[in-house]
Amino acid sequence: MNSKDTMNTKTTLPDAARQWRADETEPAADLFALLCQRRGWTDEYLTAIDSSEHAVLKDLDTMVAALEEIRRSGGTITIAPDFDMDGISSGVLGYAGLKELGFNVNLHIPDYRRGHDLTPEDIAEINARFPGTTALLTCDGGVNSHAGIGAARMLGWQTLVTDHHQELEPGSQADITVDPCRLDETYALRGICGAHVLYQILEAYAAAHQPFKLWAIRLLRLFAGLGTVSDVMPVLYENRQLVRDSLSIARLLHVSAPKTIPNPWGGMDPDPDAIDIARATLLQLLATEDHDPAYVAAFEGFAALLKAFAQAGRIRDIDSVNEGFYGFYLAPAMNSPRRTGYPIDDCFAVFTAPCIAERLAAMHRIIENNERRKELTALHLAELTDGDQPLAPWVYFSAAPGGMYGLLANQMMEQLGHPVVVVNRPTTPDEPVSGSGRAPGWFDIITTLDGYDELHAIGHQQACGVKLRTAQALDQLVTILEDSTRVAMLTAGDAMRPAGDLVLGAGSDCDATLDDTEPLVELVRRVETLRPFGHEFTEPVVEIVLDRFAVKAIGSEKQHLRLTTATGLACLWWNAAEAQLERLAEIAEDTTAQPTRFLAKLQLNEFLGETRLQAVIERSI
Amino acid sequence: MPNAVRSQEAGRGATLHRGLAGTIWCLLVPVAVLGGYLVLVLMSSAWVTSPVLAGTIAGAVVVIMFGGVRLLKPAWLSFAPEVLPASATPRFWPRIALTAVLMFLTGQAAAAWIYTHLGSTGFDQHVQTQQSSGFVPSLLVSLLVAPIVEESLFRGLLYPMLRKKAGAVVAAVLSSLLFAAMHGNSVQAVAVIPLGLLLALVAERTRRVWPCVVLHLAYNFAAMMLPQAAIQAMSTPLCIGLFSAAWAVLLVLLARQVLSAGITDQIGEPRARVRVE
Repeated sequence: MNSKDTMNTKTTLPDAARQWRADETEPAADLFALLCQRRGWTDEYLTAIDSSEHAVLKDLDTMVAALEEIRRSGGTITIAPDFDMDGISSGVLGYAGLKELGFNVNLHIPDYRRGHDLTPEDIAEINARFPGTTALLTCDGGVNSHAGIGAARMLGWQTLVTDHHQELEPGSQADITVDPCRLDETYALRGICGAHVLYQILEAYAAAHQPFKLWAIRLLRLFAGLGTVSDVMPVLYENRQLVRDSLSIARLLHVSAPKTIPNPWGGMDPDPDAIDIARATLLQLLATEDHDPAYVAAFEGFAALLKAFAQAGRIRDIDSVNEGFYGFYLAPAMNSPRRTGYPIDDCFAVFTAPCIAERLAAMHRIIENNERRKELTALHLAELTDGDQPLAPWVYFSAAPGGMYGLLANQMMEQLGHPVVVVNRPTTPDEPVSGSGRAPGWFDIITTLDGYDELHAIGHQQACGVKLRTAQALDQLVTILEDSTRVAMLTAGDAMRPAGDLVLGAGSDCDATLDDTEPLVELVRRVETLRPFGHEFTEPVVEIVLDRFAVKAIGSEKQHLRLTTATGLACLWWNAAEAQLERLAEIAEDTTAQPTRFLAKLQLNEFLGETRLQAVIERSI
Repeated sequence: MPNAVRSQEAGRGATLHRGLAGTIWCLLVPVAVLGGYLVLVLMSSAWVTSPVLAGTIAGAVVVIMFGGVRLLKPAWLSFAPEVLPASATPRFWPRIALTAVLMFLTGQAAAAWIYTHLGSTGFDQHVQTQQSSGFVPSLLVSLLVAPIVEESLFRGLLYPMLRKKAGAVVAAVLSSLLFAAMHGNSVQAVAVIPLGLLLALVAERTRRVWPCVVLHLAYNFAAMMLPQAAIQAMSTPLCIGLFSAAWAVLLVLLARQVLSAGITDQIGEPRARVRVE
């Protein structure tokens, strides 16, 4: 029996609901063992989730045969990707991979204003730009794009769909469809991203028809892993090794900034502007063999992307290239154009532009736009908190571009701790209203709104699009959210309280003190061996209890906080100075104050050859 | 057009572009740096009558400007490759010391030969200015002001700025020739050309100005201490030729040691990335 069958990936993974064992009578000497015990991370579990074995996706062999037939007949494939980070990854992966395999390929830049589904307008645009197209290959989309696929078939194109979204009745209209979420699919891990699906196809094709190109195609795991993290796929089973491989390949494209800038203390500081991308290990390796320029360009583009982030101060060294970089810097930056109304061309130009200078320039523009996105978010957030909001705190009206509703809803949800929906402000009662909803993990928006004729939610339970047939349904939406939240809060109980896997500090409920850092350093080192972390295998967090601390604002704009305990342990809280400094300063000075509790992650900081423990605070409890 | 040919042509174009940009840079930077210094000297001279004092005031401004650039815009002074660890160039300082001694002897001997056979009104004026300024001021200028100011200007500002676009050899030769020309007379120019090359190599290796200041100070001190008779005895073409050959060989070996140690491996990062102490 497949280990995934016994684990039942979606609902009963131990990590999904942390187990606090009531029968812990003796404190565990080994903090790592205690952590694993509480998380349900048995040896069997950890071994099982690291298995990369998987079945073959339905119709993958048919897709491979069709691709070979297209190549032999000299046909031309046009790739039509989605526009999020997974779509960009799969589009680049497909374009670079098929070029390397000797195909005639075009890459279509999607128009995000038309939505995720491929439309007849998209097909008309592709036909106008690439009139020699004989086959359409979708990635990260298309399984439910009946109109678009139909339009493509009317043009006589062979339609090949690669997707990872749930196929809906009546089913895909394409000639060949490969999707782990097809109606009759038996592939065990449904949570693989669009780029991973296309990667499996290219890998199988290379194994069957061009085995000498197999190692080159396997390097495209870089993009498949990036799509996996960006699309918040579970970091389990075949996804785990894929993310590890992706990060390993990414690190082969990293070039350390030469330390050539003299500092006032007689040493040298890194100069990211002086990074020579051509010196990346992988690019030097690729230069020793013949490869298609488009294939090499994809990796050069990634190296340029890393340089751009180094110049923006987001990558300090090779260790900065991790799953956090993918999820918190790269994906948000690449998703920012569609949120701010900026053209998405640069997202593909990073990997396809004719020269490295243009690719680097494209990435700089994306990073600049991301900064603009943050400014706009702050601006529009003020509109929500300070403006005319008659339906607050459940529903908010915003004048922001539609692509920003999700970000705003998420920010409000984090502030308020309950589900929030952000929509466009209607001008008439009969006007349809749409927006985005975000909810904490204990609340399912889609299930809550299911069954109401005027309301519709689509997407994920905690992050979805919300549509109202008319503005008159807004009051109903508020009532539903309010009542359902009240019920959920009563039944969720303790599950709502943010909890750490371990409690560290001076309290009687603490598993260990913060004074002796040696066991904590050992804990961090052992936790690091369990990487990668992500969706459904989250990084451990600890609850730290501080009874005495000093607090100081740090950073170029004094925007961060550093709390220092009596024994010198540093606890950093990024971007929290404005909201928390005054309160924490009062607590720090009050000798009679109760201990303060925070949720934090432990890290090791290497500086001048010395390893120090530090905590990065996520929130106050 | 085959991809390989297209990329070769693109590569040639890029090289040509880089070469042109480098040449223009090597012309503009000396004009800007030394031109600015000359303007300072002229302004100081218009303000005070004593040439020594005027030079000192201009020099003080140069040192302040160098310090300011180093603190506020250190990226202006950065150039690749990274600084090497001490182990990358074994016995570096003893070799520098030996080369410096040979260069000093060559320079003094060559300068004496030129003065004896060709004369130099510029050098005579320089000596007259020194004597009229007084012993203590001359001593301070020679052992303190000149090393600090000249190293701030040439190895602190000019050399690193040239190195941003030019190779080490071009930057060293150019900065040394300008260093020599700035002295204003053929006697001192000939004496300091070898010194300028050595100081450029020290700046390349250490990326610091103070070792250059110390070497320059030692050079000036030795020049003051060396008996005139000894210099005259050495100022024969044979002696000058032998000393020149010796220091040239040592300099080339040192330069190869410093410059080749910074070359990266065929695949991977530079061999050494630890900061030199």
